[in-house]
Amino acid sequence: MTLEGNGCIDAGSEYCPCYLAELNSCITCARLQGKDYCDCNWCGVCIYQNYHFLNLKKRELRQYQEVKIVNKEWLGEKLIIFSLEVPKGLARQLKQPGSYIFIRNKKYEKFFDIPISIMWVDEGSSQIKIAVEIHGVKTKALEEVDDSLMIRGPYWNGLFGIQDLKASKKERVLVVARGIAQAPAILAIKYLMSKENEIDVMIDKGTSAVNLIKEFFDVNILDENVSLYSDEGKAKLANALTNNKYDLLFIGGSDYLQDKLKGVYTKFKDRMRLVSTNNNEICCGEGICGSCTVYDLNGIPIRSCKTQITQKD
Amino acid sequence: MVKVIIIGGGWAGCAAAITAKKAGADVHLFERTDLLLGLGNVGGIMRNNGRYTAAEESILLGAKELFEITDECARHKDIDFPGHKHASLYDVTIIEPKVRRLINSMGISLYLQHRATDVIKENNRITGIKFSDNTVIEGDVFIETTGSTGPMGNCLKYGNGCAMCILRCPSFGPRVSLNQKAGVEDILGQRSNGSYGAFSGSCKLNKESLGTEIAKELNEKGVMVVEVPEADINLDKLDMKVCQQYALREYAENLVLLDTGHAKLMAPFYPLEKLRKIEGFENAKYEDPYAGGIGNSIRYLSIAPRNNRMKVDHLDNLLCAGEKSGLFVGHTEAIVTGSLAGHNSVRLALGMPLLELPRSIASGDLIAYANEEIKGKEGLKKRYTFAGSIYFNRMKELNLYTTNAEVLKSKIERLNLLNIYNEKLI
Repeated sequence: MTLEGNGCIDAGSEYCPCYLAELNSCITCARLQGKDYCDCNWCGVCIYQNYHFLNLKKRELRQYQEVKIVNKEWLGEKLIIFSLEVPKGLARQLKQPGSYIFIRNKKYEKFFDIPISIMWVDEGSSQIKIAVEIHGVKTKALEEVDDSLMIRGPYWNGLFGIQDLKASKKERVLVVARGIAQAPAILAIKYLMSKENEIDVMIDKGTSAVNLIKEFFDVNILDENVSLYSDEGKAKLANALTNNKYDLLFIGGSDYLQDKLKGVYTKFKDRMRLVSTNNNEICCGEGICGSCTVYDLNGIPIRSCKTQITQKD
Repeated sequence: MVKVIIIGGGWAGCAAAITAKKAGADVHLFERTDLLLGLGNVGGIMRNNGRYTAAEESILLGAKELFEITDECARHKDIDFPGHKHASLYDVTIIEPKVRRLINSMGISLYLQHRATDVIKENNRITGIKFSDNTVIEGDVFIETTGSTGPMGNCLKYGNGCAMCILRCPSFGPRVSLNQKAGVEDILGQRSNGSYGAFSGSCKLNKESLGTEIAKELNEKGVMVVEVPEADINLDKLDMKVCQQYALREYAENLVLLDTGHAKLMAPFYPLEKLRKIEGFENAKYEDPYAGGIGNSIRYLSIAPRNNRMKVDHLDNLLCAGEKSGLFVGHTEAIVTGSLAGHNSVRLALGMPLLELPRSIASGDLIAYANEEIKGKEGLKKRYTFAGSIYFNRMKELNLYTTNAEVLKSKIERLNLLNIYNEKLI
């Protein structure tokens, strides 16, 4: 399986052009990569032109803000659901499937930032919900927090294949998610439902041992106790894909899990599109630090915190 | 069956599609926007000076279809304007659907809103073209007629930014140079000061926004010359435009307007405030480009190296035509080169020798001369058109210019080329 960069998620947004343009490393624009000819695929108002309109400066970065924790709910020993009150504009920006923010305990330094998928947005009350699984140093630092969190956002590249997801309208979709990856699946399901798609769900509760999806929707749950790593789980997926005419498959889970399930999907790829969670180690979210870098066929680095990625056989 | 894929539905692409079809190919024409003709939707000038000769030559060679339409759509025939004689102006507001109907009626498969983004290649042979939706279309021979204008980054780098022209890059996406994608580098045209590209040479005003006298005169005579106030004369502007046949002093000292359905103003752009100070232009409004007060599209940034048979160098099965094939200006030039490329695409697929138009006719000489000149530094600063500037002078010197159809007919008959584009090769 080889990877191919497929455009910057921030292109044309209010955060474009960014530092990468200033430093001749724009993901999209050939001219802002230092080339002296146009060779982009960006269908929108020219990034190079916008950059000139800004007098050769990037746009303002996403800023940190302290937001109130409206509710903090423990599900079992490892999982916390935070409800946060955020500015209205931010709530609106975070409705897009694949949205994420950085969060941290304000007592700690910036390198405690954790990228967390948005699970639910209530634009009316300006509240968002996120699910945090306590794992390592950075998440442990959140256990004690009750009043507020430092956040930075919005970021959008939490899913690969976002265009394929957005193309779904009045179609059949199968969502397969394991553990905490149910969180980004929930935001995606909400979007897909608004486009009148018919959705089936297969859940592996994973270590968190909860079915989060049913807390939010009354969707058709094919199985909520499947073990996706097992041969039996893969057979169940193959069975579902064989017996139903799905147009889109959503896979939420680790890269290891994705690799296993994509093996099943390959047989069906001509008749359904794929969207999957971005599990790379995101650290700055701005395409600068390099922690999320993966490489394409030619060894060219792809900053996956901002770049949509297509997988090829 | 030979499958010919043409990328770019401007005049050159349409002309290529027609001759390829007539030679017997299965022809597929792809266009990035929702309109055929590209800049032909805002052009309109035909048959001025040597273009008359070239149009008649093409008709005699067998490529009459598009000239029939431009003649049929003419609002004005046989008019003179500064530096130009016996021009005909087609109505840009009615011509595109007629060409589209012709293309469809000939059984050419037409795909609008299909933007080519890449080529699939095996050694020096192109096997398919990739489109923006990731589909790949395979074919035997390919003709690139994607032009040399835009996209926006180029219009900014070498111009005044996107002026919102008919090519509508923000809506339909950027032009991609396919020869460059196939590893054959583009040639860039220059201005006399050595900077790259050149502005499109005219902008179009909404005729209804002009004074009634102006509109009336344009409708009746097809041309109108209005003096520019002394303080606003800008000779430098002549240098920046592509259409060197219109880069004459008269065009700086006057507003030259032509009636092509819109009022075609023969200047690359003209500040709206200055324009509105002139009597009759108080309410003037631009029709194309929408920001004609500040700039225009930038062209000649993407020319493929080719031979005189229109085949792109270093690639076995890619031909080119129109502005992609040289520093050409105009619809006639696009149709002349396009017709040859279309015909040769079938010859190429069949392994026949490709047709090279002889230099004893203007069409053949222009194609060969532009190719010789582009190899030199000074040649990159020139434009090649039957309508004026250096090439029309050359036509006159070499006795290639004539408006006598009979003379041309006997010449082309003697060359054994009469109706060659009508020959079915398959």
